[in-house]
Amino acid sequence: MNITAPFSEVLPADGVATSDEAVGAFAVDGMIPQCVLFPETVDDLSRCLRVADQASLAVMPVGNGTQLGCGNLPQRYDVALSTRRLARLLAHEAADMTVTVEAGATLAEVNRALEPARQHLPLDPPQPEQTTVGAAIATDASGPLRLSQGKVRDLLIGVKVVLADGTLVKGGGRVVKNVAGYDLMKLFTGSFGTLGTVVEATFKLRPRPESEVLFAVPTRETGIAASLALEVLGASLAPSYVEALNQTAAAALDLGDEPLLIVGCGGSEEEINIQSQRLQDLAGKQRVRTYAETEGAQIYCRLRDFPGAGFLPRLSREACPLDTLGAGSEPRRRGQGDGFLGCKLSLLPSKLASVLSDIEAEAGAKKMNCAILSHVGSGIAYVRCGAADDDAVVQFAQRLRAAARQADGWAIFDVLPAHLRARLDTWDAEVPGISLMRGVKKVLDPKGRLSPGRFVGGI
Amino acid sequence: MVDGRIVTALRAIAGDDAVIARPTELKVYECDGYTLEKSVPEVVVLPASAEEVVQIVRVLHRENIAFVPRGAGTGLSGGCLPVDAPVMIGTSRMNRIIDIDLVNRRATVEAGVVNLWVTNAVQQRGLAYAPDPSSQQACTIGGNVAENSGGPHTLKYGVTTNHVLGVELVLPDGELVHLGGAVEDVPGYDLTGVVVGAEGTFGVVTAATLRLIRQPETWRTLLGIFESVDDATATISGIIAAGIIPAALEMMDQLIVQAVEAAFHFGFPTDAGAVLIIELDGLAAGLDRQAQRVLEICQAQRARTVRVAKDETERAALWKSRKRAFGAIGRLAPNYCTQDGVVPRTQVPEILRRITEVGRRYQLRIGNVFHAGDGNIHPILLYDERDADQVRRVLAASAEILEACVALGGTITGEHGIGVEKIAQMPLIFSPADLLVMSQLRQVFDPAGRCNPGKILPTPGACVETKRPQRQAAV
Repeated sequence: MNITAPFSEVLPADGVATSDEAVGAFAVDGMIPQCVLFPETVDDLSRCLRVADQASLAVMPVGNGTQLGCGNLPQRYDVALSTRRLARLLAHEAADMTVTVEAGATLAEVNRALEPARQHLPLDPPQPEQTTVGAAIATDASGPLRLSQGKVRDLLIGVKVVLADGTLVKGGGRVVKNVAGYDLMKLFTGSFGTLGTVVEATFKLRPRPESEVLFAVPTRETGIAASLALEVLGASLAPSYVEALNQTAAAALDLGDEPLLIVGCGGSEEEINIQSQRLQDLAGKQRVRTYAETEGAQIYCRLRDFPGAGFLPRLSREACPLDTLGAGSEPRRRGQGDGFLGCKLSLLPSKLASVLSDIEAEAGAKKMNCAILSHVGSGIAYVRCGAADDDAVVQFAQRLRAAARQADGWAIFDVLPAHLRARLDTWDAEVPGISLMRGVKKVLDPKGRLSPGRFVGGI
Repeated sequence: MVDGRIVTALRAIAGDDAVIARPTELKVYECDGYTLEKSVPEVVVLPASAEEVVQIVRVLHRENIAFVPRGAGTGLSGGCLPVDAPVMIGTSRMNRIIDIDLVNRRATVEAGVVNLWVTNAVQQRGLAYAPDPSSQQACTIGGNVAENSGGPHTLKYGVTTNHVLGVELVLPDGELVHLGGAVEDVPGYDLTGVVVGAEGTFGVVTAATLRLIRQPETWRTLLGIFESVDDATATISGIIAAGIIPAALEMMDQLIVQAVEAAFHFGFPTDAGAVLIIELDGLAAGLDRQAQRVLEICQAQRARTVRVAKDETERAALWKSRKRAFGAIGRLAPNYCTQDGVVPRTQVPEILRRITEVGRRYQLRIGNVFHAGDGNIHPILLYDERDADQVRRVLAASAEILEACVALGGTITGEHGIGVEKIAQMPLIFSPADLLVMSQLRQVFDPAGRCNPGKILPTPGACVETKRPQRQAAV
């Protein structure tokens, strides 16, 4: 059956793509949609969803496809609905410090537009040139700056979403403070395209700091880097981000051969100088390396991009046990037989040091290469590891999840090869409030049209 | 509707002294800080633990009786006014701080814990709970969660939702659920974020895990005195445009300054057009330079004087004046109505002009004390409830002010909530489709509609009673 015909009636000719290349770009672990739709207006996008609903097709809302590596295999995947051409900057109210933008604009595009006003949208997940606003919202994407600037949930003040049946709804507005009605921004943030397609967003903005400096402190062990990070967080500093890297991560990012603590500070010269002083008092004057301006910015970009899909190939190039990964494209697009795993841990910050040390020891014993970067103040750690043996990867993944649970935290597998998805749940089956979540899915997408099966508990 | 059998059951669960059913004692619970409407519950029950809440709600579920949760009753939109809900569940006895984790900066507290107690419990260790509503000496964390409360310092630090990591919630069928938790990024939908600000319509929040912040190293608190409201608002724009995010940026106009000065004798000049309280905080290094820039911005807008609080005592006195401004209004008129609207920051001068115009047209005195940095206005309309025509004018003027906020790109409530007060205005900002989704979301938590009915969402067929003010409660 040709499912594309009805879409051609509601979209311009080039809005419906069916070439191998086009659909392949939005494949999820070998599942390929029959077509990719590129609506240019909200009305057209809404019509697409209505058509898909009437034809009982399963739709996955996407932007550029950067985040498709995370999530369980969809139960069905007929159509990819991309917001990439819905990318207008609708309003930058510099004096109000807000921006309203369509969902298909990338984070980099938005931030370029804000730069003349010396403002920014401080969301810094990997690959800002490709990651769209819609993807960042749908996946609750974050980066090092979450420590000081917050996440999507802290910055998103208004949202427009098209539901599975094509209905346009909105939550919030364009003002920075607003408690009218239920907070739909929170509902759609991190919902992984299972409740609707985000088409427009309004964010609070922040002034860009006068200047920024990055400090790096080499340490002997990963646990020491994480503990030192906690000391920094407890001291009289106001860091923009505080990261701990294990030795493998530091080496893969060309930052030397030892575990590292990295502290980013922004602000006036006085503010940076006093923080530099205090960090030296805390960590030892000789040990603190200072990277200003371009050099610091480059290192920050490497840290930011670490969890992203582009990193694993880099890790493989730097460290031989991962040679099986090959180089080049993103891991999700590779075939069977690659043993690799990306895991995101959510823990209490105080538990990072011991959990990460245990994980490293275990990886070492299994001769697995394991790079770890953590946003220490937020208790988030990204573990990236590889091995030629699938069973070893699965066992290690289960070990990570058990360790997280034991520490009252969570482990999600945010990068998994296709053939391991059947053996590992990306999420965790026992998330709190799962029956309410199923209820939410049922009322907003009663027929299960949107990204079915991708999210927690089979949602 | 609530028969003796049920009262007996509630007594068996919570204890005799925790169930109030005598009309004279129930009178206290007839309204919150929004006093234009009143309704006395048939029974008030004050459980001492989440387990008791579970048992109580199970009884109500079995008997199909609606209920309303209540914290300290300081809300300003009638969020805990019983509307077709005979039973009120008060959280005041659930007031334990369950856990404080200094290293990870978390506090887990029961719903009845008073906002200020949290900061008091950790300030010796250099921490604080950031949201600081003016009623923070009385209002509870459960109430803050329900209303997503703000406060002056939310300009820099965010509102309640930015500081709640998890909640313990008793659903309207009596099931106890834990949403979110002590760690960040819990997998699944952000239901914690949806419960915060749901105005108690999703169940009874019995405990919350809060984020604590490090107290800033130091503060600079400036008081700017201006000849006119326009000069003061231009200063606000100037500060924001300079890339400075103060911890707080508050404005009081002449009417409010006069009332505050008469009540607290801080030393405000009563002939000034407006005053700004500008607080900067952070590392001591560089803060004086920032304060100097703010001072220059004030002077560029013709500030009469700018004074920097010389010590912690003066700073505290200044904030006391601001936070008790509402209380001071009682000196000006027998009654007042506090409105809560938001406009984009740049529209503050325009909304103030429109408020003045509305006041003139309806022949009402209106004062303004508000979170200027957020564009969150609080016009205070003075009246005498004994004059029915004044009451009518207050209601009409309030509605016009909110409509003006919406017309300027804003919203109808920034921190007080919709409650019963603003149900009629919801269609100004939300379409029928938006409201339908909200009502569906509510049904997920409360399919039978028994938890705090008659709030937030305009229900087809339900009419909002004509508001008839009675007496003015203390705010």
